[in-house]
Amino acid sequence: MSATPKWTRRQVIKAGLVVGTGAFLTKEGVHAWVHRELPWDPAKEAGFSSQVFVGSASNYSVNLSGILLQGFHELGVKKEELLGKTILLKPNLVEPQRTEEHINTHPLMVRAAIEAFLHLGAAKVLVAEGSGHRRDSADVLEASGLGEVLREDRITYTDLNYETGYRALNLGACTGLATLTLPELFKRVDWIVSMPKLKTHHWAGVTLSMKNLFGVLPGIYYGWPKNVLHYAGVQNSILDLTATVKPHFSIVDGIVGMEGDGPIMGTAKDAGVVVMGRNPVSVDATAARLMMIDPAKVSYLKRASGWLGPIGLERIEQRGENPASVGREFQLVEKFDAMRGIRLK
Amino acid sequence: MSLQHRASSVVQPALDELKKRRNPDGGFSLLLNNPSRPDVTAWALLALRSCGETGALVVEAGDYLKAYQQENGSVLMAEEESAAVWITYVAAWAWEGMPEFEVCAKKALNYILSISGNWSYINAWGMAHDQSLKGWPWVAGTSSWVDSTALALLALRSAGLEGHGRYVEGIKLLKNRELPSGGWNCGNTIVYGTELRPTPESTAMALTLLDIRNARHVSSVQLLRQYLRPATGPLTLAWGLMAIGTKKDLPVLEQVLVEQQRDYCQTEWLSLLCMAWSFLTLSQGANVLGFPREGRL
Repeated sequence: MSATPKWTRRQVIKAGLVVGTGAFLTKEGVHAWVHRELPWDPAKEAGFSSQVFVGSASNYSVNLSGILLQGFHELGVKKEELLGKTILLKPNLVEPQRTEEHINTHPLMVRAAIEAFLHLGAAKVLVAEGSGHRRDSADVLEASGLGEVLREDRITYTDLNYETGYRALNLGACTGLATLTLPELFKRVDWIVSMPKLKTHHWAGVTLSMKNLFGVLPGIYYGWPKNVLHYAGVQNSILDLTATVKPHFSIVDGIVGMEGDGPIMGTAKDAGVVVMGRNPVSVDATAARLMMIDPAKVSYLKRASGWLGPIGLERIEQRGENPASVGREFQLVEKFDAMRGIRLK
Repeated sequence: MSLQHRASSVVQPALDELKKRRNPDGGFSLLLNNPSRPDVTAWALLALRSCGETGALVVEAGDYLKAYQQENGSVLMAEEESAAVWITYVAAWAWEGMPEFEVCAKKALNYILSISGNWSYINAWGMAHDQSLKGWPWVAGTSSWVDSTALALLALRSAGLEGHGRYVEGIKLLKNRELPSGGWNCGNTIVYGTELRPTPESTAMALTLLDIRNARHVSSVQLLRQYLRPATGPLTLAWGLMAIGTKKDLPVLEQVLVEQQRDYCQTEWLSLLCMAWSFLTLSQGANVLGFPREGRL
């Protein structure tokens, strides 16, 4: 049963595009296990190689969908893969503030991804997020600027915080949590695309497409913030979520990123890059290098290496720009354990 | 326009929309044509009662919630989701004053008084707030946050437990978490030496429980006042009006109520808007919600 109504444009505008869905709950809970085909084979990726595309974009006014389409082409993403598929884009809207647009995935990057996926034949593109610190998703959309874009493009937004969940076996087994409660919406989409911001993180070192998956867990089960994951260990939770959610694709908004005391209180950093790929570990490793951070020194990336994907330069086939030439040094704060000693030499 | 006329033209359609989300099991769904959920049902029950609904509709909603109450008094989304106890706070608040559910409410309140938040695991993370103040978590065994603590306090206040030690301590927690520059974040104040930014919904919820005339909250009240406009999200607006709203704010609320009484508006939001309306206009609304009106409006 789909909870997403058919809307007229006027209704979409009035609604602020926020949809909560609440299907399938029974008093006994939901026991359906979803076994999706892996878009990437962790064992194979870990043992062999992965491809990551780095695009250059000086600002958000350039032809971003063109850059993404170039990236898809370079990475071998073909129309046949996407034809008729439903794509879920998961941006990072952890705590939108009207005056601090470097906290969240830029709305024009989300628009570019919508355009690119539709261009390649996707039947439907949805945008969904479970904001970490905000319960009012209508205000989240307005403060982030994403609401305006989605209204114009007539794209549905789902607040994952209020989604009824289903319990999925925790395939990472790092936290000790036997299951993870994922949003029912995941059963109705074909691709999950993690769309983080390029940021440093005071507890994780960096926050990219893997850490962005914190936001898929519904707040009604995990709270605001998803404090259960803090107790289970931030690094462990990142690994469990990546192994369990298995995002099909990652697109990192690194045009303007955040350095210093990320993920919220840091400062804006012009980086001018877009990073894309099928394997989130490889994408994040490349994004870390673009910040002049050694992925092998970021605890969760090091642990993911050889398991969920490769991080070594010799195992990542770089497409597009050369990371060594377009990287910028992001400020690190040495007093944070997770940021100490992780600089790329 | 008379109050009665306003009620029929503005709130009644919203209540009708709420009732459409009622399922044969007595519970309410997040959106039309979806299964019932206990969290959503608790909000709908609060809204309906505060607007004067009585009879089978509210009793059956209370019964639906009762089916989700565990032996220990907690109310859960599902038995397997045993940690997400915050629904207990809203359920206790919704049951309060309903003779049919006196036992349920008492069990829920006892459960609320038996649990608390915990900050011990992140002492090293540079938090400036007083971690000895327990408050209430969203999820059992995790930390206390502003919104979850406010919900628990609202349940206790509606039951007349303002004198209880836990209530008094919870109020202290809210005061302690107020940001030096005004407002509240979801739960922290200064982390690693940096003052965090306020969020409007947490600011609104905290102020529903505090003396808004107290000089220490002036900056917070001023901050929240900026959000009492139609463009604000319905959740923030409703809580904001229940915190600092006056009858002068009714046009804004009514505009949003009319906009939101559609089939795509989440039931929690619609419920909160109805609750805000009843609080601003009906003495019964304030009574059901346990909001002291004197000195606030």
